[in-house]
Amino acid sequence: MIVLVVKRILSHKLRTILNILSVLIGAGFLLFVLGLSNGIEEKFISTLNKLSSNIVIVVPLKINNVLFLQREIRTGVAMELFKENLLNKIKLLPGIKAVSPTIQLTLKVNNKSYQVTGIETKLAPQIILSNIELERGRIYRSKKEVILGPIVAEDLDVKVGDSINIEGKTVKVVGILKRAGTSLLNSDNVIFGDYDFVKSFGHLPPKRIAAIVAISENASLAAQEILKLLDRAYGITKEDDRWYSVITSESISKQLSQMLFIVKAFFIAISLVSVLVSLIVISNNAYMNVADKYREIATLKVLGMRNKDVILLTIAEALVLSLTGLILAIVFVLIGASFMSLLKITISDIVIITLFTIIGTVLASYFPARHAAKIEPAEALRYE
Amino acid sequence: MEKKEVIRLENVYKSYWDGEQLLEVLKNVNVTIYEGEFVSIVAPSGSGKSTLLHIMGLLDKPTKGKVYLQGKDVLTLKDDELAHFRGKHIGFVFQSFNLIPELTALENVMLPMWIIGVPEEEAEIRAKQLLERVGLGHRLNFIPAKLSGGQKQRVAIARALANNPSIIFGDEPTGNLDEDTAKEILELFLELHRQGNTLVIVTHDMKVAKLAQRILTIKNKTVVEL
Repeated sequence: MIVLVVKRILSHKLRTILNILSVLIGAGFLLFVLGLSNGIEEKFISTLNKLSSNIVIVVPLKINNVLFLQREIRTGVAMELFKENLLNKIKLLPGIKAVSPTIQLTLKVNNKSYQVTGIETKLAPQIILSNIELERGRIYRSKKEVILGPIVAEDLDVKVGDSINIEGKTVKVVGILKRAGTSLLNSDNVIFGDYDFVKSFGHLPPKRIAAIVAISENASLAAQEILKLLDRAYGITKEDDRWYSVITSESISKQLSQMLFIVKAFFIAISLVSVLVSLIVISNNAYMNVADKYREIATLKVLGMRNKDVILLTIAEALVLSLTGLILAIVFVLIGASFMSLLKITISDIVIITLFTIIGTVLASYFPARHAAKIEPAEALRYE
Repeated sequence: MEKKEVIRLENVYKSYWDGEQLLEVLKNVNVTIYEGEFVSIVAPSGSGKSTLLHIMGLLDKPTKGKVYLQGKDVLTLKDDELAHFRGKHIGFVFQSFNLIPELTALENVMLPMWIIGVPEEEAEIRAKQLLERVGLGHRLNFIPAKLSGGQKQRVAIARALANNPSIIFGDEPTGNLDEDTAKEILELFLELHRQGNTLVIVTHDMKVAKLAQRILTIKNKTVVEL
């Protein structure tokens, strides 16, 4: 019977090629999207972890996702602020190497808006340079000096030694950081300066601090310790009642993964549309085969073929075509992956796509197959 | 010696709904075909000849009455069982051959055996023997398009014989052939009859019909012997 399936498929060469092509494109696109999103996720998160694995940031905000964090910090909206004496308590926690108050404000720099982050001058080398290297110059040593992220430097078109104007105050650019990509401090896009200097634009009440940045040996452990300390200090017993958050690259990674998952789901949804089109092509092809081979199917039934065998025959033909297209798609995408490091194909992706193709094809060809099974055998005796 | 019956139609009626109107095609048909017989059914078109052939060939069910094949009441069988039973017990030779165009002569003859599950090797041996018997031993791997009309019908006859059926129906088997080729094919049918096969040929050609031992016709919606 395999002979019959293969020979029937080969009898319509162009239709067969088009059908295989449609599966190749549909499944190939889906696999490509899956692979690409795997690669992006991996690269993004590994960079983030590499760059900021020892940094812990404490903010007076309840942060549920990264987007929220970005928005709130930029606008400087905070419900409550930490007391200054909290810094000394955090400093005493095990594994904490350095602690600085920090603040991030959106300020006018040479008449453009930038994020300016304040970190205490004496701790700046330890906190900033433990993760990111300087491209040129040195770290700031006074309130009159700042360093720039590479994107800011390029955007403002300034060099080491140039002066810039922050909200009417002139400061000197003493260093420019190397490009770091994604990092917890978002160093590519910000200006770093002395904490007191940046704070002076923020109108904070006395003895209050906006946020805290710490360097630790183990960020996750330190984050837990800090949370415990805060819970005790503010008498919080339930997670929902916390008005503060402790952020590490790991916690951000987790949230980023969730976000990437949503992005991934979106792209998969789009590629599923192409898969759906392939399935429609398969279904249409199967219908055309049934219509073309009406008399042949009737003859097969006269010769004793049962309805369920007619259904199996039609589905088998569609499956051979789909699986051929799928194998070609997998081969092409794997070849692509060997050239493109961002394309990461996993065995589970291949298994999922294969199952999806098989189930989709069976469903798409089932109705044409049932149509074929309903052909009356007596049709074979009708004279032409 | 008592004759063994192969197929028996008992008080068979067949009617169709044609829109609002109920059309009666066959009425109180009683026919028995015995083993080794060569029977022809001759009747003008529109007389219910095709309907009779469909019912006798287990391709259609009567509205009323009984159909027995090898003593079995076939109307009690489910669709799939009936298909299997038909594949095993009935051979068909069509006017337009109805060979599967993608398959070779050999594969076309193996097809009915594949369908009822005869093992591949056994099917191949038997198909070769049958094609040799109909004089096509040298055309085993030819596809139908490469064969002449007469050769196609010989392949179809070999296919009809594949599962060693109880009865072979020929539906105008020479209708698409020229006179000389038609003679050869009829000669082949007579040869099959001499070898003990049971044959029923449906035709409108009296000359062809007269080759048979018994001639049946349809008069007033019922079958009568001529």
